[in-house]
Amino acid sequence: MAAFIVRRMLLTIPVMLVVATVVFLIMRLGASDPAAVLAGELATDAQIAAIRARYGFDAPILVQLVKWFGLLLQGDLGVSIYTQMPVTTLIGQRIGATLSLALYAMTIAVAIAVPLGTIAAWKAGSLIDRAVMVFAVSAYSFPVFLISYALILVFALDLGLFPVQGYKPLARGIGPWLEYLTLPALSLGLAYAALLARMTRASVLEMLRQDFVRTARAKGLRTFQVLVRHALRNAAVPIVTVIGLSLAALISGVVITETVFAIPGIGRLTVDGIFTRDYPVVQGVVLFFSFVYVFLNLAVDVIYALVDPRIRY
Amino acid sequence: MATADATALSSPRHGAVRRGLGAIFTRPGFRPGLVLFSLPLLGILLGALVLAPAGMDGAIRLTAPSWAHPFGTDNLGRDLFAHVLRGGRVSLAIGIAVAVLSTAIGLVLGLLAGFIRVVDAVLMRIMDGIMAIPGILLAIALMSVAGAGLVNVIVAITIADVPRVVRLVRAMVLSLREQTFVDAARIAGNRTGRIVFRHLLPMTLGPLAVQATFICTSAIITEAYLSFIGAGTPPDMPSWGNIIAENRIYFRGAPWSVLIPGCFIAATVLGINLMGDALRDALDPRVAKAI
Repeated sequence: MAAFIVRRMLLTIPVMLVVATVVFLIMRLGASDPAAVLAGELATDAQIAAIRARYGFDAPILVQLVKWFGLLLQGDLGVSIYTQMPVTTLIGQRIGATLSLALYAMTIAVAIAVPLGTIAAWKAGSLIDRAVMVFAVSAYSFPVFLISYALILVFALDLGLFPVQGYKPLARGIGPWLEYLTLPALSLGLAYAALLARMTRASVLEMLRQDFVRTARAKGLRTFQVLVRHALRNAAVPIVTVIGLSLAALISGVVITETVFAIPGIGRLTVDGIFTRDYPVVQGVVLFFSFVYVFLNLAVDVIYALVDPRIRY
Repeated sequence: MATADATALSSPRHGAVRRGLGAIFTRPGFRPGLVLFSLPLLGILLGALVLAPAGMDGAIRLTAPSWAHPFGTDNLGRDLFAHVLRGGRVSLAIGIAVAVLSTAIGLVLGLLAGFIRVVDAVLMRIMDGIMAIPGILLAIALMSVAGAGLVNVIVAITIADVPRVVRLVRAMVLSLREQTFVDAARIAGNRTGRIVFRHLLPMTLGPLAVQATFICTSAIITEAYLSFIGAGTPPDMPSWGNIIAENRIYFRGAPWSVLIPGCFIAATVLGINLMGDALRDALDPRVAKAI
């Protein structure tokens, strides 16, 4: 087991190297002249040349790449052009809001999807099953901002139950935190729940066909026990995997939801970076999210191996 | 003539196609999907034929839906009915272009990776790296340096989607090349190229078509997201995404200006997804039972 974990962790190193190289090449080769992009449309040739020298864009691309790797190894994601602050500091200031949103959304998603998926599998082919599947395919097809605006219209503007926009950190008390975060987390959670509900249904359905479920029924266990203790528990592994794989969807949802609800998180930082053409920020955030994604998938794989003794690598 | 037609219709190949289409058509989600997709599509096509681009009129800014303006008007006094139908052309074109391009590029790269070991080793590491970057962020990074533009959006989303197709094609080729019919074709004296194009390629087309439908819908949504955050199509080229982006600050007073284009995206994407699901289930009944 330890050998597997070490091997799996070592495997992420080449992936992260490729990720860093891809991000670097996009940012350097995507624009014809990064210095001109940084300088803005009104810059003179002299200003562009000064920026080129200052950021080392005049060095050969391979030298720039090696330098960039060196900085990354020291945990340096560069300095924001707009605020002149290190990108890591900017991310640090905003990570609380993003993490709050992502965790709250995921909790809502699991709370909705696991019971719905299990019931749909138990009553496969019934009206309930069809209703759950219609919900799953619809919520998955709706853009996150449509769900967000619909929720704002009903719960914030019409009923006045929640504020339309904004964010209060957890340090200001759990009440205000929940008040501001519930609508964003719900809109993100609903889209995510759609993915999970489908997968939960498929996994539980697969388990319900197994011999041990028939044995459990034959022992006279109640349906609830058969479903939860036997079927759902064994279906947990594929469900956890899907949670890991669909984190990319959650991350893109975070960027959009933070924009709709004006939450000062990392997603909002990305969008501000695009508007101010602050490209070290965009580059830093993309890399940060990608590393988080790679690490979370590593964690999912390790958990996968830990919770299921049948898996041998 | 009539006899020739009758022969053609009763040929085994034609029968298989008809059975295949029948199998797709009778899947539970296909017909609702077709209806959902056809409504915006018809609107877009009719709009392209009949409606002129929406003109600006300061006197009718942000008016609610009425008989004169079924979808209301936006902040510049443009008729949203004409504007949204026009925007649909761009959104749909991006979806289709990304689906076609990433499937074609992914197919070629996947076939190469499946057959040539050296290519496989290098290519798949690059694909793993690209796949490790969440698609929308990769597109954001590309758009932030390349600037707003239709072609840039298509290229950015395609780059993010290609690895998924490469993986699918490679996996299919790796399992198919071990099958006995490939050995038989080889023993019969066929060259690798012929085996790939005559025997392997046709077998990958079904799953690829399914994948293409999902890429199309995810591209429509990604374009909307990119435009929504200001990194998509330029404002002078209306797409559903940037119509929503332009109107979102007026949401409180004019919710229709955001919700209506949003519903067009939802109907189109849901329609295509339902048809894609039906296609997948028809191609592989085992999956249909499991999911």
